[in-house]
Amino acid sequence: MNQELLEQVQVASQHQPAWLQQKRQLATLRSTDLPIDHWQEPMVDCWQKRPNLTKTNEQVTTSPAGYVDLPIFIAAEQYPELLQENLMEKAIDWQANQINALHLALLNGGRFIYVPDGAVVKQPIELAYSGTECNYHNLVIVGANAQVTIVEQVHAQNDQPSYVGTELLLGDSAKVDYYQSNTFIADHNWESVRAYQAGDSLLNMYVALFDRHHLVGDFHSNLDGDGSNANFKMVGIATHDQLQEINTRIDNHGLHTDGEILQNGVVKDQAVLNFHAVGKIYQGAHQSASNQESRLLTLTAESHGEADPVLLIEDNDVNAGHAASIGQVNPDQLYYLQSRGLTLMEAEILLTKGFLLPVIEKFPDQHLRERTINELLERLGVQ
Amino acid sequence: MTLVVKNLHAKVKESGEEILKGVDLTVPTGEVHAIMGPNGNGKSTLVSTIMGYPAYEVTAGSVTFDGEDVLNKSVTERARMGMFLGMQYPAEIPGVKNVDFIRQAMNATQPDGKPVPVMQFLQELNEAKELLQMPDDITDRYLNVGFSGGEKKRNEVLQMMMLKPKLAILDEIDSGLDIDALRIVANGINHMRTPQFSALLITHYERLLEYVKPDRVLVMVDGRVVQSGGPELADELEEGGYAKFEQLRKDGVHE
Repeated sequence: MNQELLEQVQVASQHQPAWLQQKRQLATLRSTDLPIDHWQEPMVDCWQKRPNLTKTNEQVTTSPAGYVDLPIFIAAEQYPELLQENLMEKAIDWQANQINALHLALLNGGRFIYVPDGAVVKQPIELAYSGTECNYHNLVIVGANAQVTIVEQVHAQNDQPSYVGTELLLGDSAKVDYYQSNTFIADHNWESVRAYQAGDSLLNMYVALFDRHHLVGDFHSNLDGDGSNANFKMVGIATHDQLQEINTRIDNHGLHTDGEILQNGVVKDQAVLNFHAVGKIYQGAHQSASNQESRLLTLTAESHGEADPVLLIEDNDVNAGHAASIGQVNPDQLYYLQSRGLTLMEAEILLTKGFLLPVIEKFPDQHLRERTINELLERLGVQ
Repeated sequence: MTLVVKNLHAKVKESGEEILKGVDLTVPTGEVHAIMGPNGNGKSTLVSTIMGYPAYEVTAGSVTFDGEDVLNKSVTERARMGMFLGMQYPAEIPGVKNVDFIRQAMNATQPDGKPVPVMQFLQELNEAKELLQMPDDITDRYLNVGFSGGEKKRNEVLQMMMLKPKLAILDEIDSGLDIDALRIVANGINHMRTPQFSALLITHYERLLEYVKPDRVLVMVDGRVVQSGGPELADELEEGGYAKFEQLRKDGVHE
């Protein structure tokens, strides 16, 4: 047990509501008993030695019409029931592993969005943030029949390992389009986006994994309510000696739920990009669907990728399927492009774009689609 | 801009099989030459080797273009020297729009390195599409993906017209085309003909040569050019076939 860390957490949280103080202390205490894997170890180790608990001064901007948008600690005071009940309880479970427990213990920033029942928010809500917090956490609660587009773009600016977590809680018939393209500057980072979905809710998730550092990505939805539906579309690039470990999972619990995963990634240089996708249909989730498609393109002989789709099916009245492929770049394609005067690098960039664009073109918002394409070009060094 | 091939020998890298066994030919500036001959005698290997296809290895001989050695250059550099190969089986590239590709290729091959202004590009593209009677949306589709055989051939000619190479090598640009499409493609090639433009056409049939009059016709058998003559040679071949060259075949058929 790290007494010193506990004391630091106590000091850092002393002006926060009692329940939150207790929860964070408990998370600190419990963390060492929880499971840990080799991805978490370097991050946890670093945090224990040099915990970053500095909290930026939170400011409440003018309250938007129709929904609540607050810094997370202010929300903890103003909406204690909602936060106590939901913060790292229903989607991202603080007790799942050491890194989650420490994420809560060391929490030093984030936003709370609450869209009340029936509210239809036309303008996308931007969760844009650039700061040095290592444990940034967004909690998004969308009420029954509410509709919203969330655009998350967090730039974690600390050279210590950073964890950006986002929880999406969807009420009955809620509809959420969630876009995300976070970036980091530390060597090892973590991001977790987890959703809990009530009946007939719809979550569309569009993620661009264009960061340049080691990353564990954890994307998950729990289709709890009957008729709920989750659609994940993600694109990724890994270059140089980068390691990206992307875990994606949709659990079908409710009747006639539908979980769809589509992910394309390109790997270059000595990089590694792994897509681990799991679709699980629980017993009793009749007439549910789980489909996934993971495709990787390796541009160099030294780059590696894994795409291991897993379908766990406990019910027999379901529709499930998966497709996965890992392909080396086709030399005839490269030759063809070069024979028209393109350099090898230009040809590779074109093929990378070509591999990812068909997924990006499914992003429904034109502005965000274009932004993602620009981010892609920037990532490829074209712009 | 003369293309000179001297005593060219090449083999398939993987199997070591020798396909080209001493090819000699010269295409002077402004001329159109046609290479004919039965299948599997090295015609496609010859043009792929000239362009630098990585599966073949040159074991002897030389290729020069405008006096410059070609064989020590990358595929990209060859294209930037003004050489163009219209391929028999162009690669399909999902996710890359035809129009974006043509634009990038055009910019990559500009002699002065300056990008072509968008309006000029679009105007030229529309004119070329019209001449080749290609549907408007063909350039918005992914490069060669889902194109019919005929569309692929026309798209090769479209690229040639846009890139304006000094030397166009067209590998069986006529195969799989019906008579109307053949005329259209031939029209595209003729549109390019100027005293500065040379072309090397690979074909099985003399029909293409009725529409695109070659200055010279070469016959290739067993990895060598075994005969050359004026356009009338194509007519002779049409009548007599390649039978008289068959005895020249030595060991085996290469396909």
